[in-house]
Formats: sequence, C-alpha cells, structure tokens
Amino acid sequence: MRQAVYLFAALLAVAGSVAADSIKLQQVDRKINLNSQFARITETVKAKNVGEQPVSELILCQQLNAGAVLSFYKVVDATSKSELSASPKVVEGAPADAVCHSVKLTLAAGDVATVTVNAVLAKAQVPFPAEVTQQDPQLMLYKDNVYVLSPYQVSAQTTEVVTPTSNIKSYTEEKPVSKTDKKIKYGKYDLIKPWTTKQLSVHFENGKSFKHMLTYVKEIEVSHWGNIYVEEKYEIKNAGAQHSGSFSRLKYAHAYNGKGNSFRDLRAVLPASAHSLYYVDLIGNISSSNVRKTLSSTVLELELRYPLMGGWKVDFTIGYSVPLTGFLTRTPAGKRRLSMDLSTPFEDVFVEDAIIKVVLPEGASGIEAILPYDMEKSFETKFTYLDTTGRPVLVLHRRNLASPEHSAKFSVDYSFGAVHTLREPLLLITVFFGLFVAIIAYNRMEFTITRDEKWAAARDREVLATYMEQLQALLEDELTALSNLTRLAGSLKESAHVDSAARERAAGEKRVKDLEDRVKPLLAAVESRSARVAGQVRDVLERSRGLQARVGKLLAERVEMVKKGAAVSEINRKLAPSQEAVAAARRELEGAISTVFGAY
Amino acid sequence: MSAAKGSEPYVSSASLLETAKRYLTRTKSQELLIRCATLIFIYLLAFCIRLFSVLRYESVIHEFDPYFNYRSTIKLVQDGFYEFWNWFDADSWHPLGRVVGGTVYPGLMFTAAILYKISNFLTACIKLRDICVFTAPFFAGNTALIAYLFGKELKDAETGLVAAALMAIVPGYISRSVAGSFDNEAVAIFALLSTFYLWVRAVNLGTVAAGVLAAFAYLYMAASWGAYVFISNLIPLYVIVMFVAGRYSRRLYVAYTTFWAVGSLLAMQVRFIGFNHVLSNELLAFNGVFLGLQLWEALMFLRTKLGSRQFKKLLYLAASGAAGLAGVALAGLLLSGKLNPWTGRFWTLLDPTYAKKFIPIVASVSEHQPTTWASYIFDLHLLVFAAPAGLYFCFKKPTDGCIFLITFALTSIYFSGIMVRLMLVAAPAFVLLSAIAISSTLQSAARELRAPSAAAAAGGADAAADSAAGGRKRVAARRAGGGSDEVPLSSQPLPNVGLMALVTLGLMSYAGHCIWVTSEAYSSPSIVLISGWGPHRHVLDDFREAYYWLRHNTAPDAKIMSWWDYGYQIAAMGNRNVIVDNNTWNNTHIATVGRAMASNETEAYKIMRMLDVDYALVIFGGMSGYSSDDINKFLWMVRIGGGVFPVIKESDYLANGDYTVSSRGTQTMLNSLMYKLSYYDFGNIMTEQGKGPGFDRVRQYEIGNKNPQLEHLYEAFTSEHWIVRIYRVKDLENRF
Repeated sequence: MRQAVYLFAALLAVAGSVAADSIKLQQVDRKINLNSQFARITETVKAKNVGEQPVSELILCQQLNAGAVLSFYKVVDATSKSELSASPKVVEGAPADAVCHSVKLTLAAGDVATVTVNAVLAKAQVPFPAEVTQQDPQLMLYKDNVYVLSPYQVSAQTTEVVTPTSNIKSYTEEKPVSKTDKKIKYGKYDLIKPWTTKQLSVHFENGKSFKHMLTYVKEIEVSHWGNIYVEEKYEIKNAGAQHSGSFSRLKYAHAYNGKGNSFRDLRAVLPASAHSLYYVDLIGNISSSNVRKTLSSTVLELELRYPLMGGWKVDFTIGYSVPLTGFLTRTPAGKRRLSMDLSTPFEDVFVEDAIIKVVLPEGASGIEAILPYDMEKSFETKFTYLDTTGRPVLVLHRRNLASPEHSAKFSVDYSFGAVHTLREPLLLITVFFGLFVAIIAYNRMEFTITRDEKWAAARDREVLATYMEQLQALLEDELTALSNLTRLAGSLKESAHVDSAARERAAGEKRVKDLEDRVKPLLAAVESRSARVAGQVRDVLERSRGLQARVGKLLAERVEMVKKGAAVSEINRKLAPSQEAVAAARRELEGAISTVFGAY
Repeated sequence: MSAAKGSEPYVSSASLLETAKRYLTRTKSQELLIRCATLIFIYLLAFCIRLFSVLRYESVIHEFDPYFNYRSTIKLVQDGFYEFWNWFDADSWHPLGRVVGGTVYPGLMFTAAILYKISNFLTACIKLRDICVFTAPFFAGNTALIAYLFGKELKDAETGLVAAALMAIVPGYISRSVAGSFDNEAVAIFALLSTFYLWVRAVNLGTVAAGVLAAFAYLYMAASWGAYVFISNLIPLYVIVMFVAGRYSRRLYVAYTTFWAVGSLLAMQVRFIGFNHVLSNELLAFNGVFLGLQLWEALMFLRTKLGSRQFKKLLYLAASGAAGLAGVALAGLLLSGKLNPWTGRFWTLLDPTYAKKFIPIVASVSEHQPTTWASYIFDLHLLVFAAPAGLYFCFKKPTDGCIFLITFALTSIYFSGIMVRLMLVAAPAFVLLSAIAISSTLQSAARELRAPSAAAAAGGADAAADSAAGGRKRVAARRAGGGSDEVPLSSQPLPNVGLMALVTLGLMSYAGHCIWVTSEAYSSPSIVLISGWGPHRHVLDDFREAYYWLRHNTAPDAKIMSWWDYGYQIAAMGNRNVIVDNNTWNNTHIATVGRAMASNETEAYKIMRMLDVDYALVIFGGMSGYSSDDINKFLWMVRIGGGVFPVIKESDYLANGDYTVSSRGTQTMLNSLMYKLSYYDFGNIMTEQGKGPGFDRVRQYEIGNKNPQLEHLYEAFTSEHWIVRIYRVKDLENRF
C-alpha cells in the first residue's frame, strides 16, 4: 500500500516534469546591469510549447548567491505589453539557491510566446575585499550562473554583463566570451540542458553608493480639516565595503580620492504641493538641506549629519504636509479614497524593511487598501490630538523594496461621515462649558468649616454688597429712565405732540415712581447692617430726587412753551439754564453713585 | 435680612448692551480690566522674549547641564518614578558609575515629566523635548506672576505690576531661562520667589496654614536647586534681624515654627538632602534659630507665671544648663562625625578667594568668577540705580515684608558679587526693590499732579476717601486725604511731569536693553554655532555631528574620554559611556583625565588603558576660530591634574610663564596628548590667507610642532569644521 503511494507520488512528479519537458526555450537574451548597487536583470525569453497538450504556466528561475535577495520581479508579455502574474514556486530539481516563479501563460501546442523578465537583486554585489581604507577603490564581486537557469532546455542564449567602470579585475571566461570597455558578453551558447549551472563571477570596481535603508517607517495622517501629514523615519547605512583604519578629515576634504566609497547626499522627490518640510533626528534639526520647487514636484536635497563611510549608519526623519486636493477623492460608491506614494521618495535606495502606516480620522470605517504589490496588512489604533476613540491605522509591511522599481501609488478607501469632523470642536466646546459651569458652581459653594465672628462679619459684608449691587442697578435704571425723559423734553417741538409727550411723560414718571418704591425695602435692609452706608445711600437718593425734580421742571417748562407756539430756537435758548442744571445734577448723581457703590 | 425677606431681589431691566456699558464705565472694573490685561501681557512677554533662540536656531536643549536634565527626564518618563529614584547610572563616571537618584535635585525633571503627562492626558501630543525646551519660559511667566503677588504683599498692587513687568524681562534671569535652557535654575527661581512670597505672607498673616504653604514652596525649592540653603539661612537671619530690631511678634513665631517643622520634614524627603537637613553645618542657623525661639517663648511663658526673683534664678540656672548641654552636644556630634564640617561650597560663598586657592575645579568654571561692574549693568541695567532708591523707600516705611526684602537684597547682592552665577538670585531682589522705588516715585508724582484737580472737587475726593472707591483712585485719594505726613516736593505740575517722563524714559531704555541683551547674548544654544548673517549665514553643527556619529558608529558600550565639560552632552546625544562629566563629584577621577591629557602619549596610553577608554574626544577651535576649545582650557586640566598628581607641574607647560603652543612652547606642552590630539594633521593646512601652514585661528600664531605623530591612537572621526576630534585608542598589540 505504502509502495503504491510512493509510486503515485513519483508519477505525479513525472507528470510535472512532463509538463516542463513540453516547453523549450528557443532564445534567451539576458542582460545583467551592475551599474548601481543592485543587479538589474532583464531577460527576453522566447518559449515554445513543443508538447501535445496546451500548458498554462511557464517556470522562470534565477540563481541567488548567499545573502542576495530578489527584491523585484516582473514578467511582461512582449507582444501585448501586459503584465503576467508570477508567483514563487518550489520546483523539483532546482538548485538550492535558485528562486523560481510560475508565470501564468496559456500556450497551445506548438505556440511560441515571448516574455520579458525584469528582476532586481539586492545585496547581490558583495564587496571584495570586504574592508577598505579611506582611499582604496571599492571592488565588488558579483556571482551568477553563466547560463540562464531554467527547468527547460534552452536552444540559444546570450548574456551581457554591464559594469559601472571599465576597471574589471577578473571575470569568468566561459567561451565564447568577449569584453569591451564596460561590457562582458557571454554566448551565444547552444542547446543547454535544464538546470545546467556554471558559476559566473565578475570582480570589478563599483564607485556607486550602496544606500541601504535598514528601517523605513512612513506615517500618513489624514485630517479632513484640510491637511495630510507625512512623516518618514529612516535608518540608513552604507552597505558598501566596510571602512577600516582611520578616518582622516584632511584626506576627506582635500585628497583626490579621499572620500572613498562614502556618500552624504540624498535626493527625494516629493509632491509639488508639499509644504512645511522638516528634516530632523533625535537631537534636533540637521542644518544641511535644500528644497527646490518645480511645477511638478518638490525636490528635497539633503545631506546627512556626517558622511557615511562604508559600514557607518545614521538615522533621520523627514516630514511634510500636503493639502487634501489631489490626494483625497470620492469613489463612485461614495467612499473616500486616499491616493499616495507607497514607497520612499528617495532615489536609488534599497529599503530592507518598510512599514507604511495610514492614520485615518476618527470615525473612518470600511477601510480597504488597493496596493500595487503584496504587503502584509494589519490594523492598530492611534491616539493623537483630542482623540476619544482613537484613529484607525492601517499598517502595511514589506521587506526588500527597491527604488525606483517599487515606487508606485496606492489607495486606501474608507467611509467617513462628515459629521465626524465636528467631533473635536464639539469636544472642546463641551469641556470649556463644563469648566465654566464648574467654576460657577464652585463660586457659589461655601467651604468654611468654622463659623466664627470673622465669618459672620464677612458674610454680613457679602450680604450688604448684594443689596448695594441691587440698589446700584436700581439707581442706574432710574438714571436711564430720567435721561429718557430728558431726551423726550429735547425732542418736543410741535404742539401737536404735546399729548403723546404727556402720555410718555406719565409712563416715565410712573416707572421712576415704581423704582423709588422698590428702593425702600432695600434701603431698610442696608440700614439694618450699616447706618453709615445707609446714610450715604440716602444722600445719593437725595441727589436722585433733585435730578427728578429738575427734569420734571424742564419738561413742564418745555410743554408750556411749546403750547404757546414758541419757535424751537427760542425754546432752546430760554431753557438752556434748565438743561444745564439737569446735566449738572446728572453728573453729580453719577459721581455719587460711583463713589458710594464703587467699593461693592 | 428680615427686612428684605419676602421682597424679590431687584433685577435690572437694562439691556445687555446697557449693562455692559455700565460695567465698563465703573472705575473698579476698569481697574480690574487694566490690571488683568497688563498681567496677561506681562506673562506673554515673559514667555515670548525667551523664544529668540527657538526662532533663530531651533527647538533644542542648550549647553551642558540641561542635557543631563533632559536625559534624566527621558529616564523618568520612560521607566517611571521608582526606576528614576533608584537610578544607578553606569554610563557615566566609568568605571565608578554614579548614583543619580541620590545625587540629583529632581524638581526640574518631575516638573517636566508632570507637564508631559498632563499634555498627554489632554491629548496635546507635545514631544518631551519640546516640553523640556519650553519649561523655562513657562516658568518665567509664572515667576512674573509671583513677582506681582510679592510686590502686592510688600506694598500694593501697583508695585506688584511694576515688579512683574521688571521681572519678566530682567536679563539676569533671562540668562538662565531662555527656551532650551532646561536647567535647575529655570524652575528654581520660581520656587525661590514663591517661597519668599509665601513666607512674607505667612509672617503677615501669622497663621499655620500660610506657614505650611510656604513650607511646600520650600520643598519645591529644595527639590530643585542646591541654593535652597540660601533660603534656609536667610529666613533665620531675617528672624534674628527682626528680633534685634524689636519687631519680634507672635505672627513671626507661628510662621517660623510651622515653616521649620513642615519645611524640614518635606525637604528631608529629597534623597540628596535627607538627614543633611538636620546634621549639616550649612543648616545650623535654620535649626538653631528654631531652638532659640522655643527657648525664648518658654522663658516668656515662665516669666508670666513666676515672680521676677524666681525667674532670675531660673534664668541663671537655665542659661548655664543650656550652655553646658549645648557644649556637650556639639562635642558629641563632632566626635561621632554626625555633624558634617563646613563644605568648600560654603567657604567659597563666604570668602571670594577661597576657590582660587583650594578648589581649582570650581574656579575653572567661568560662571564661578567674581562679578564685574560691567556685568551688573549688563544684567540689571536700570535696576542697579533704582534698587538703592528702593532700599531708601523700604527703610523709610519698614514693614515686616520690607525688612525681609532688605535682608534678602543685601545678602544676595553680596553673593552675586562673589560669583557671576548668583546674579540670578540677586535679580529678583533688585527687581522688587526697583519696583518699590519706581511705583513709589510714580505714585507720588501722579498724586501731586492730581492734587489741584482733587482740591477742586474736594467734596468728591472726601467722599472717595471715606468709602474707599477701588483701585488707583482709591490709593491716590487715600494718600491725598490721609498721607499728611509726606510733605509734597512740589505742587507745580512741571517737575512732576518731568519726573514721570524720566521714569518712563528709564523704563523704555530698560526694555530696549533687555531685548537687545536677550537677543544678542543669551539666546545662543552653544551647541549650534552660527557665523554671519542673512545669506552669509553659516551653520557650524559640529558638536551634534560628532556626538551623533558616536551614537551610531561605535560599540554601544564604548567609553569616551573627554574633558568633563562634554560629559553630559556625550551621554545624552551620543548615548555612550563617559569617564567624567559635569557632575564633578569625584575630583580624583577628573584629575586622572586631566593627567592623561597632560601627559605624553605613552604615559597617557597607560592611563587610558587603565580607565578602559575606547575613544578620546577633544574640542579644537584652531581651524574654525571657536575659542572655547580644549587648548584654551588645557591649563585648568594641568592644574586640576597637578592638584592630585604632583608629576604634572604647571611650570612645565609654561614657556617663561607664558602659555603658548607656538614654537616657543615647552617640549612637555608640545608632546602632551592634548596637543597631539588637537593638532594631528593640522600642520600643513593653510587656514588663513597670507599666513603659514598650521596657523591656529584662535591663538593667532603658527603651531610649534607641525607634524605630531600618533602611536597608540588613530583618528576615528573629525567633524566638518574640525571642532570635534575623536580618536580611537588602539588595543594592545598581539604578543605573537
């Protein structure tokens, strides 16, 4: 029984290899570009289905030497220019250091298809020697397979290796091979069997900087009040040959090759609308950066705190804001869509570990991410300014990103009710309202424990003060009523108005009388507490009555004269002394009120 | 109350506008409005004037000590209270370490941590660094408010306002409280002034509650700054002065006794103080006066109970008994070592020449130098002239508060003459005295100006005097009515107007001077240097460059040897172990580093191996013209090193009594480690046009040995403008 199982498994394996056997690669042209810190490999593969059955997948492999990572892998149909989906697959018989992808491709029997593969390998160039001094050139060793690693038979193939400099120390000489200035050409090789390996190794000078971002954390915070904050934290390392021995600032500044493999400049391309930029680290600003605005972008040129020699590290943070326009839109389904750059804005860097956090406003729900490539997704909550329930955060994680291959836009869709934007102002209003209410309540409470004479005296003073306040309000009201009457006197010009004026006068006088009546109980209350103060109040009341009398007199005279039909100018002239008397009495009263009541 | 019972309280029928108008036309409310608005503006001014450094540079911690405070605050916030309390810092003073929890005044760190927690609780999300940077300006505003209250307590609200305004911008205080200056003094001056204010209040009120409140302020001071000793000596001194002046009262007794009991207990809770508060000689007066007061009160009590003959007998017995007992107790304490001897700090404060003779490490700090007259004018300006006038006014009407102010002012002025640093303590005294002088002058001038009009409206003024209508008017009126003891200088308006104009002019020039001083002298973080102006501005950010290099490119346990000035910065920004730092608690250790720097390379290598040093760091200004570099401090290293290790002799480093690194310099000098580390690789550089190679831009001459070779160290990093140079100490060579 067990044997039967093994047999079945073996049969299945054979079936797989049968499928493989049914494809033959007619022509493969490979170009390995080492003119950067990466190894960028472009392959044009012409595959033919030589079997009888149609096949649905094409297996493509790449050899990786120790430590190297396949950062980016893309397969495009050469004729339709459409991207084909490729997924990693473990293939029977492949060498241990190979990475294979299964490319979805329907190929009828006898058909030929041409695909183009773009692969970016990071850490594939290994410094050799691993340590250099400040003035040594940086030599790199790149290892690969001379032949295209493939589960299929390859009928014809060529390989071209491009190096950054013409200083090539050594390279594998597998004939036919030719070397011109910066290029090494291998092939053409005919009829290479599946999985044939033969080490290709190139040792050459590479002066390019090996900018590795060890960690990269980007935080995008959306505020529906009109701003998107972006903050990016980096830890950067020079992953080139390790610097050894002393670092001489003299040589660095003055010698021709004193800078070694170091770098200090970085260049980031940010959105054109970016503003409020900053460039800091843990201990403050880094005062060496430059921003250039163009129509299509904001270019941030920054210098690190110190030049990074091989193996040196540093960290920094950049941040900026962009307005919502152009980044936040509505989907046809009514959701909000945030579209931003996914990866780092820096050029020609390798990101070992990238975390992108999208902080959405409080109340956002139904969060969906539309990503250009696979990333790990998770959610967390963040509390910042005036948050109560916390903001939902979408966390995206991926390792090994290459720039510019991984620079792409991504979108996050979410539902958000506009009313949520009012949360924070309402919260503030509520808190301040509560605060004021609490203070009002506190002021009206009494926390005294002992009620001795001092307390009683203070209490008495307080009560007196409330009566005095009422009295003052009363007197001031009276003053207002009296000035109304005075104004009435001033406006009376024709005899026709005499009757209505009389009515108004009666009403006004009644109001004053009412107020006078209300004074009495208050005065009595004051009297019972302080005879001296009551005396002062009486004095004020006396003045008030004086004013009343003068106003009354003025009114009566005016009515008299108007009835007689005197001219307005004459009336004014004749009544001027009375007017002045009223004004003087008024001033006196006001002064008395402010002196007597001012203390309460 | 019965009369009003039943009748409704009267509610005015005036419209809202009318009510507002009525309110605003009242003198009392106008005065309140003006006062509040002035205070708010003063608060804002105190805060904003300290922001020059943030605007011109950035929000960054300044100088040296603040970096330790910042690092401690981070520790406190991240690891919590108990971890901080028990913090043994193994990253400094290698290999000794430092018990930070027990040797630190934690007030500042707690303040910042609490502010941080509050801001976090309110979801304000302020970064801890920003909290630390803005703590000092924030407290400066609070200090101005306390100055207002103090002035009010001493004299009246007007004096308070003047005091607050002067306090807000007095350069002597600004020098230690600009944004970023996260130092003990930033909160301590607030604590100091609060304690004094609450103490005067306690003396005026004579209640236990007021005394307890003052004791709590004292706790804050004791937790914040070593100068708490100043308070606990000044207050007993004040009590003695009051006693001698015959103004001793029950109020004073209650205030002092409460303050002593509660204040001592509270201050002892600070780990760094502990039982020192009882045992230390520095606080002898504090405790002695308390005992003396008790004795006095007991005697007074007995005198009322006993007849005079019996009392005399008792007095005789008690006096001889007390003297004997005190002698025995003193001897016992001294023999058992419980009573600590007078420390150098104390002597330094009493004797200006003490430090120069005996403690070079104290004398080496520039802020410990005696104060010059120029710096009085620079730091206090108008106040130097106004304060004596204030003293005159205080003596003229000596209240309890004024006598305290006089005591405070005279002692602090004396101390400020000994050390530049103590100008900080003298500044509040100068401010309060000047406030009294200025407000008194203005008040009397204003009174004279008003007098004719007051006489015209005599009736009204009399009524005002009776009923005490609020605010300025009231005061003026009271003076006019009741102040008949003061003979008017002149009732002519012209001299008074002139006087007011003069004071205004003085105050305006004071304000201008303060702003100028703040912007020019006190707003540089000294961690970032800027040369030039406008488009020619050039930033020298070498310190941070080098410290950050250390942080990222050396082993996490690497030990850095540098002169102690840079210890705190390396620990905070570089996050690496240091051999010595600004705490300077172990003179021998510092002397060892000084000796290493002063020795030749081979000798120094032995010392560095002994100290387990991985990197040596020097500050060098010869390239950039930065003058406070290690070569200029080198003589102090020699002195301090030589103080402990007599192998190092100052005379070996002086060429005919002249300190020089030129070709005239001695061989010992030119072979010293410090010379080599500073000038390595420098000999062939042309720094200035028309000068030879190796021209030192600070010393202004060519260096002596242009090609120093290093055998046991190699250059590990040099910052862009050569200000910071770091050398790696080589391991021992393989034997095989």
